[in-house]
Amino acid sequence: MINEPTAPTPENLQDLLAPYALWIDGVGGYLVCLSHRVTIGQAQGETPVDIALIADVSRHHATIQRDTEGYFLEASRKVLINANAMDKALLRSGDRITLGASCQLQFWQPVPASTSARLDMVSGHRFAQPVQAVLLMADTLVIGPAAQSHVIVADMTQPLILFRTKAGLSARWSGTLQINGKSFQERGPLEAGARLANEQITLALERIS
Amino acid sequence: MKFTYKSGQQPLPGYSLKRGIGLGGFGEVYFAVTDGGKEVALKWIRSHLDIELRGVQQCLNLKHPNLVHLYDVRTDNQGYTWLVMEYVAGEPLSTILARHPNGVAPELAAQWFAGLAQAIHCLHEHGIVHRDLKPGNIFLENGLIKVGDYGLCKHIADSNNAGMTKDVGTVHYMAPEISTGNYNRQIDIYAAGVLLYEMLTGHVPFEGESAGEILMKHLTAPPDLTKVPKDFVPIVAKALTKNPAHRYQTITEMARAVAAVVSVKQAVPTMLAGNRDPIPPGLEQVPMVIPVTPTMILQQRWSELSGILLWSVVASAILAVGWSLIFSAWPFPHLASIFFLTVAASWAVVIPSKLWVPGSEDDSWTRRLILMSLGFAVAILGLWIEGYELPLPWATPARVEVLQPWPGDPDVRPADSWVGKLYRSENTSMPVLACYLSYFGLMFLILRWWKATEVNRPGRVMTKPIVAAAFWGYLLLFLLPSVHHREIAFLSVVMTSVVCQVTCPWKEKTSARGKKKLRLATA
Repeated sequence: MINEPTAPTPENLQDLLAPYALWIDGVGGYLVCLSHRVTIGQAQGETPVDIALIADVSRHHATIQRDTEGYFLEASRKVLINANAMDKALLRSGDRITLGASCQLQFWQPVPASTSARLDMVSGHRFAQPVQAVLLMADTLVIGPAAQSHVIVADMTQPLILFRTKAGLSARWSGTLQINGKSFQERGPLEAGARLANEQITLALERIS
Repeated sequence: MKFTYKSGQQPLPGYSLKRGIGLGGFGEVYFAVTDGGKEVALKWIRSHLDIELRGVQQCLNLKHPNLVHLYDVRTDNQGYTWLVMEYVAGEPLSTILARHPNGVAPELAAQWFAGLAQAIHCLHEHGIVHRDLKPGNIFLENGLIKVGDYGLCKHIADSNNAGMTKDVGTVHYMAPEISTGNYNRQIDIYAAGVLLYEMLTGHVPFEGESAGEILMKHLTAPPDLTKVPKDFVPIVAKALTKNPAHRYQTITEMARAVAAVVSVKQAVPTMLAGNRDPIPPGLEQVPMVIPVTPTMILQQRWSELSGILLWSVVASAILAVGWSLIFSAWPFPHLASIFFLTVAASWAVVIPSKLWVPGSEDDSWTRRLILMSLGFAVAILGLWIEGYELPLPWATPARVEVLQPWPGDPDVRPADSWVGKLYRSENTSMPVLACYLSYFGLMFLILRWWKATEVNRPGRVMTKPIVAAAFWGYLLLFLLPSVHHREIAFLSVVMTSVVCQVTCPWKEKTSARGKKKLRLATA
């Protein structure tokens, strides 16, 4: 079913790591960051950051890096983690990250089997993208009814899994999936601009330039 | 949720749809971003166009921090109407309350209520009734309450009550007078009472299996206020009064009462911590505590009672009609007599039963004697229906005379005064007046009728009281002269037992049941 993976070239590697906006009907909008290293800063910066905030923070305020041990936060400016000033810290699920005076994010790793993480805005500030949370996608993203999901959708009866392939992203679902109007069994590829639907959920993946 | 439009589409030029937010009775709501980057909620209106737009016109230029703002009304190329609204990033109250199944802290509920009251106040000030207040329409964004979906708004006409009977609101928050089609801004105060109840306890006051059952409870059942924190009981009780005239007259008055409860509670720590003003700004700072007075309790009982009395008329009529279908040979006057006697007898049972304090059983005989005297009144009504003049003091002076038994033919009825009509019946030696008085008097004395009207009786309609009424009713038939339509008296007594149980509200013992989702909450 999936297109034969092609070996990543430097150009399409850049392409593969570009962020997406994930729009889930009736649930919300999410910024999906695929890079293992994401920068956080103010939306008005000249060099664009991966997670742009509409808040009183620096143009490049902090960096979150994923490696084998987990997520490390490196502060370029004043960062508090659970009210303690930090320059570098290993993030644990539930940590509150305060950037500057007032902007606060909360870090979650809700799925034990997945290293992917979610960043919620808890201080009432907005992301530059019209989304409500950021998903730092490592290998998989779980969208499902359980509390141990990256995106909780209470009405579902089984989870929808998004996972990485060499060619990009794919979706896994036990049942039939409609992607851009074509039917797929169990799994199907998700390209930029793809619209996925099954009987329980409809979502769209939008490439962000 | 299935949405008509997909992410990325632009049905309305300049607006890119990103995702669906919700489906409502009036259309689909989408999250969209304009070309300039403004986040908006777009409501695609498919049905009830007239109502929706009429309301929207009134609300389009309202400005209040606690209201979800309406920006514009647009029409797409296909002729569909789109409502451009403020996008609220926060959660609806329904989602928040779902996380708090036992309600939120009273202080928080009071704080939210203050915001809600400000929004309702703004609408009422502009002559608009929200009509659909419910947790799905109320949002919490950065601690600020935002009331939305006032597209259903109705302009209050100059007359006190302007009628419009289109489907209004969601059944859990629906004031009883909506069923009459004759309502005003008081329905928002009722809904605010339901919301306050729900914030404090985590569930709505009236739950049921069907919309009809819930509506019936709004009409007749008193709310169970045992779970409401003590200080809020009089406020919720007053807001949920069945009779709109006895509710708070303005939402500000109710908000002041709520603020007063919290400020009294916080008074001591506030004074220690410095003088932070606990009363929400914008409201007049006159704290007012509303004590529960016996009159208020009586008013509440009366408003409940009036519903029961009304329904017992309906139930009696249905039973009488049902009877006529079975015995189609019965003449209409008989059915009418049964109907009137049943209504009278059930009122005679229900009125005292509902005014008595439930549970105090020690005065059983007092109750029986009161009921017996009411039974006498029913007996006199029965006589009157039978065609006798009433023994009124100003009636024509009587000739005392004992007549032969009435031959049963109405044409030969003696038409003089009431005393002149005292017959001796065939099988008793008593005058008819005494026959009727003793029949109904004993019926009301023997049985404990109020048992069938109690809220916590074992079942909604129990057979035991009906069988008992039938048994005694049949046994005492010997009292009635055989020349009369004795079955009318008998049947009306049995039907009274049915009517009382059908109309009096009943509460099941196990009341933990999920709230019914009747309408999907939308933004």
